[in-house]
Amino acid sequence: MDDKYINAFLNSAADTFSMFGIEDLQQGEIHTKDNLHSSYDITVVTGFSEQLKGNISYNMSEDTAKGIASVMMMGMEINELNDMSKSAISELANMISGGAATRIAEYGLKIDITPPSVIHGRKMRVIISQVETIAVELITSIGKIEFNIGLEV
Amino acid sequence: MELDYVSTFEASVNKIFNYMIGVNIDFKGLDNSDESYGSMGVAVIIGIIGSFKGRIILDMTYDTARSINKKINQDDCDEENVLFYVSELANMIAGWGITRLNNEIKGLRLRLAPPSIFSGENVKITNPKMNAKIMAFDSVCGKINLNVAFEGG
Repeated sequence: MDDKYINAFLNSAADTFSMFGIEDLQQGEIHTKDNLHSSYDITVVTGFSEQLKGNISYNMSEDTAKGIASVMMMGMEINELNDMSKSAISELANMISGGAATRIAEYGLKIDITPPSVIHGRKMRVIISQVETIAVELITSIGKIEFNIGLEV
Repeated sequence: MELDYVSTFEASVNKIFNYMIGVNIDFKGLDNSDESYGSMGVAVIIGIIGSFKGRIILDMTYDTARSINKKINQDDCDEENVLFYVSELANMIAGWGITRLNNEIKGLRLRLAPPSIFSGENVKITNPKMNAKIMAFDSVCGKINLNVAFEGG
């Protein structure tokens, strides 16, 4: 996968987190996803369609999800991952995916994103694409988020 | 305007199961769901864009998925292929459904993202700002739900 697609998501994430006062982001490991098993309890997936098809998932622990929801809800204490806090992390995914789509559209592709789905479970197996999926870690002050980018490029 | 899609997707499930893959299936009823839905164990999520944005979930237990796969392939296969075939089934159901809706309603232009597949324990799927309709089916392989939701619905 061309780096420009991966960078579109990472740059959009940096802009989005910056809006909520989270500036110190570091890119961790990057590798091809080669097995079904997810080590995360929370996945938020958005789909892409029109001239670029695929799915992006944002995978995180429950603690990281609660931390993100807290930041997005102006520091409100989040003790459990209820529907309101899932709505917050869904909105984060929507903003990152939307920002990335805008960047990718500048390459001349007509692209649109689907509404996010928040998936919460244990011992999850996840397949977001039948093509190569790239996993990129983003390390934030509130925890690690693994981006899985499965685009038919 | 609210999109009237239940009968279309009910017909789609009937067509794909009964006529295309030869698995006998009966519609058992319709239920409404709020933003969160508890999966039976294997859920294929397909996002939708166009005049209406939403998603479709084809949901069943892993045993049902395996049983369907055996009916199609006359043989057992590994977990990854079981999940793959269920995703293909979901793709056909979603594709037939939106094609028919697009043909019936001018300017609808619904498009699908590729399927993503989730399998695990206690899997809960949340779509903020969407209320879903759950179509319940019974088949020789087990119970199957088709959960369809659009924004504003």
